[in-house]
Order: sequence, then structure tokens, then C-alpha cells
Amino acid sequence: MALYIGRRLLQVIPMLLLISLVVFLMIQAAPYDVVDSITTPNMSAETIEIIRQRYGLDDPVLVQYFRWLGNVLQGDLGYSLVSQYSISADLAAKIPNTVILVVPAYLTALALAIGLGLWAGANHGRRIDRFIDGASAIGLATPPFWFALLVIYLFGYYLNWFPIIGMHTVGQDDLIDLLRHFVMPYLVLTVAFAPELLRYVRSSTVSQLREDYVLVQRAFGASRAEIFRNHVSRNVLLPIVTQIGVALPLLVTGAIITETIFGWPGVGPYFLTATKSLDYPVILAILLLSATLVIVGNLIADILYVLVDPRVRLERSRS
Amino acid sequence: MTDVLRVAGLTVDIPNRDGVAVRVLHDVDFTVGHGEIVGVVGESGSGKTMLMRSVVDILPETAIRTWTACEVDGVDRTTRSRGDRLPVSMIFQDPMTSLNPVRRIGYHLVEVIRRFQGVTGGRARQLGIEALDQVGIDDPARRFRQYPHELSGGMRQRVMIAMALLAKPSLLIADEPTTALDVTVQAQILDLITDLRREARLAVALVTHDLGVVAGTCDRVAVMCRGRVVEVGTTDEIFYDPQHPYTRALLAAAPGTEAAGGSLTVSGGVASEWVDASAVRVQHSTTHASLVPAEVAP
Repeated sequence: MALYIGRRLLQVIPMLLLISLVVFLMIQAAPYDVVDSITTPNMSAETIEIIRQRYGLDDPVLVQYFRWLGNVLQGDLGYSLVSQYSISADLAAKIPNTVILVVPAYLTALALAIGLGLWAGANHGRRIDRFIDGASAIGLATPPFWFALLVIYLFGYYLNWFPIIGMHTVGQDDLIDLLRHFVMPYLVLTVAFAPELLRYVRSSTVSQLREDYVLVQRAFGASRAEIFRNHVSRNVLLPIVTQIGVALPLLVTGAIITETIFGWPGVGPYFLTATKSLDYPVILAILLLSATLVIVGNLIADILYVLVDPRVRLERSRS
Repeated sequence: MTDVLRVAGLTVDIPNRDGVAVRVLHDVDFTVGHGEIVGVVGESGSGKTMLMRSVVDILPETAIRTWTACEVDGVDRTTRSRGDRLPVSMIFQDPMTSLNPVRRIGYHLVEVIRRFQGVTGGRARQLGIEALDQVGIDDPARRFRQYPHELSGGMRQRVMIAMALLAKPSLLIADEPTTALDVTVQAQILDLITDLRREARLAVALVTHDLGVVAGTCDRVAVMCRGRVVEVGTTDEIFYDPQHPYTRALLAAAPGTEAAGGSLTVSGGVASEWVDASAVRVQHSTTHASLVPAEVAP
């Protein structure tokens, strides 16, 4: 097991290097000169050239890449070209805001998905199943930004229950105020996360109920409830544990659109602002972080799978 | 002495995709006496499995079942409430998929012990391990803790038989219990079943399409074709003096018999001819065969 994890970790390194290089090159290929975000139109060509040299932007692309890589390896993500602030410090301030929004929303979505998915799957083809499945299809087809606008119109404007922007009212720092700001983006995110998970739970329930062991349990006098509680739900829910690993990158990039719409001061607006001005140290830092979380998340998912599924465990120990 | 199982006038309809009811069992009579092994033979789709599933109440949800009698140990079971435990156990064709892959062997056994014997905890565990021992599993305490995938097919079928025994049945229904197993393992499982018949005073209904299995194991045989029992007799009667043309065709189609090389045609015309030409020992097929057009047969 430890060997397996070690081997997987070693595979992560070249993958991350490759991802960072690709991202770096793609940004370089964009038809945009990053120096424009620092200069003003009335600066002379010489001034612009001096600025370019000072930031090292006149060096060949690969030289720039390795310089950046060297710094990252020393833990230095660099500075925003636009604001001159330290990216590490900025991210340290923004990521917690994203996390307190994404984690409750994701957990709510997961709980809803498990409950409704099992319920629908157990009643496959009946009215309740068609209703839940239809609702999740609509949820899946609804873009979060559009749903966010509906929510803002209804609860923020028409009913005027919740503030429509930000995380705190200026000058107020209490929990109640935070929660009032929290409700709408949380609702939107939950609705964004839930349908896909729900469909997974439902279809896996339906297929488990067709398994032979269910028929065998019926032949041995198990009631519907017993079969469901002791056998089917376990088979359905064990693989879901692995979703926790796959969901890891959501902690950073899970709410970019929603945060931006609601002016939630998380990673989302920070990332979009950086993208608009092609502030590439920031873009690189966030993409690298996100890619790392995707890879680490998948590793965690694989390890969890080995831990929860007895069949996989044996195959690993044999190999 | 009453029979262990007596089913009479059993008819089952299952709606197909278009909602048209397909009759999979036509007025079937079937009995199993005490300590008897009754073979049920017939080609795929002849209704063997549906007959057995009717008895243990695991027909598909949409199936419509009617019967004039269903007695187990002389007790009427045509109307049965939920949770009413039947002293009938059933084991299935594919032991590889019969057990829940994420539950240990012991879990399966203890569940049955709790349900049928009301015993839990360490005592149930002990009974489970004893049952594994009884069906010839080596190192039962270790097997008890293992997952199904850690056992071979033959071993898993033994586990199924152990589960079946723990339900304290008077009748064991074995639905092609050896079809998915290696030939050598097949023989072991059949030996185990015949041994249990003696030791546990068990009656057995053995569904199979392997006439060799029937010849070696069964006391009596019921031959099924297109949802009807077309002939019932002792194993000797069926093998040496088959009355129904379908039985003869079935025997002829089996490799190693005298008429080997004959092929069993399944075209509708031929098969319904067989059904109409009812045999001496068949009780109901003459009167009802003509009522059901050949198209509704599976």
C-alpha cells in the first residue's frame, strides 16, 4: 500500500511539470502583451522597454518559464504584475473565503444526492423517480449564472431578504451578517453541485437492484427494507467515498462564476480579474494549484477506493 | 404421509414490453415427496426457473400468479402474508454473483441465522462456522471472515448451500446449481446435495438441463416444455420408457445416449405438436393445450 502511494506520488511530479509548461506556453501564445497592463498609452517606447526589461519580459519564453519554476519550487509564487501584491499572501486571504462557501454547499449537495438518489433508484420507473430524475435533469441543464440571477431577483430584490453582494456589510463583522450574505451563493452552488451526484447515486442504485444477490436475498426471506439497508445501499455508497477525492479541486476553483456574480471575495473574482488583465503569474499560480489538487484528489480517490472496496484491496496486495 | 411440496394448477403470466401478458406457466402440477430428489428438466425458457421462483415468491414484480393449491409440509401457502417464513430454501445458478461482493461470508450467514433462528451474536457466529464445516469447507473460521471474491465458484456454491441449510428448510430448491461450475466441482456439489438429503432429511427439487445429472442424482423427473409439465415419472421410467415425444427428443439430443446425434428442434410448430400430443402420465396438458395459442409460449 505504502509502495503504491509512493509510486503514484512520483508520477505526479512529471505531470505537474508538464501542466505548468503547457499553461505557461498557452499564456505566452495569447495575442496580448502583458506589459500593456502596467504601462499607460502616453509612455514612451523607451520607458516601456525599460519596464519590460525590469520584469524580465524580454527574455526568451523558456528562460522566463524556468525562472518562474525555480521560484515556485522555493515556495515563491511571485507577485501580481498589476497590483504588485504577493500572490501567496493574496491566495492565503482568498482561499479560506472560497472554502467556507464551497464546503457547506458541496456537503449539502452530497447529502441531497444520496438521499434523493437512493429514493429515486429504489422506486425506479415510478412517479417519484421520474420526478426526481426530471428535476436533476433540469438542474443539470441550468447554468449556475442564470439560476444565480433568478435567486438574486427573487430573494435579493423582490422579497429583499438577503443582501445581493459581498461577504460582509461594511462595518459589520458578526456571524449573522455573514450568514445573510452566505445564503444565496450557497443555494446556487448546492443546486450546481447536486444534480450530477444525484444521477450517479440513482443510476448506481438502479443497477445494484438488478444484481443477482438481490434476488438471492429475496429468496432468503429478506424484506425490501432489509435488502436496501444491508446490501444495496452499501454497494451504492462505498464508491461515493471516492467522490470526496475528486471534489478536492473544488476548494479552489469550485465557485468561480458564483463567487464573481455575488461579489464573494474568494478565488473566483481574483482569478477572473487576473485573466482579464492577463496577469499571468496569478493565472499560473491558480492553475498550478488547481492542477495539483486535481492530481492529488485523484490519488486520494484511488486510495480511498482501495480502502473501501474489499475486491480492489486484494488485487493490489497481490501485484 | 403428505408431500413436502404440492403445487397444483399453477399459472403465471408476465407482461412483455408491450404490456401483452405472456403465459410462462400453464396449469402446472408439481410435487416433491419427503426425502426425494426430483429433477426438473427442459430446455431454456421452458418455465423450470419460473416454477421454482413461484414457489419461493420471487417472481418478477409484474408477474401474475394463480394456483389452486400450494402446500408446504401439508400447510396451505396459497395466501401468505409478508414475513411468513417458508421452510423452503433456494440456491442459484451462478454462485459468483449470488453473494453481495462487499459483505463478508459471515455476514450473509449470520443474517440468515438471525432471520430464521432468532439467534445473534457469538452463538450465531458459531452456528455459521459450523454450517460452513457441514458443507465441507476447510478452515471455516477463516472463510467466515473472507469476502466472496476470495472464494472459488465451488466454494461459493457451498456457502450458498450452507446459507440454505441455516434457514432450516424441509425443501431445497437448486436452480441449475452446477451449470456455472467446472465438471469436477459439479460432481462434488451434487454429492454434497445427495449427502444432505440423507443427513438433513431434506427434499430437493433440482432444476437442470443436464440429463447426466438427472440420471445420477434424481429419484423422479418432471419434464417441462413451453411452460407445461409434459411428463412426470421415476428416473428409470423417463430414461427407459419415455412417453412424451418431447421427452424422447430431449433424450435423443443428449450426447452419449443411444440416439445421439439427433437434434432438438425448437421451432414453434414442432414444439406445440409435442405439447398437443399429450403423454400418458401428463395430467392436464390435453385439456388445456388447445386453449393457448402457440404464439404466447415463450
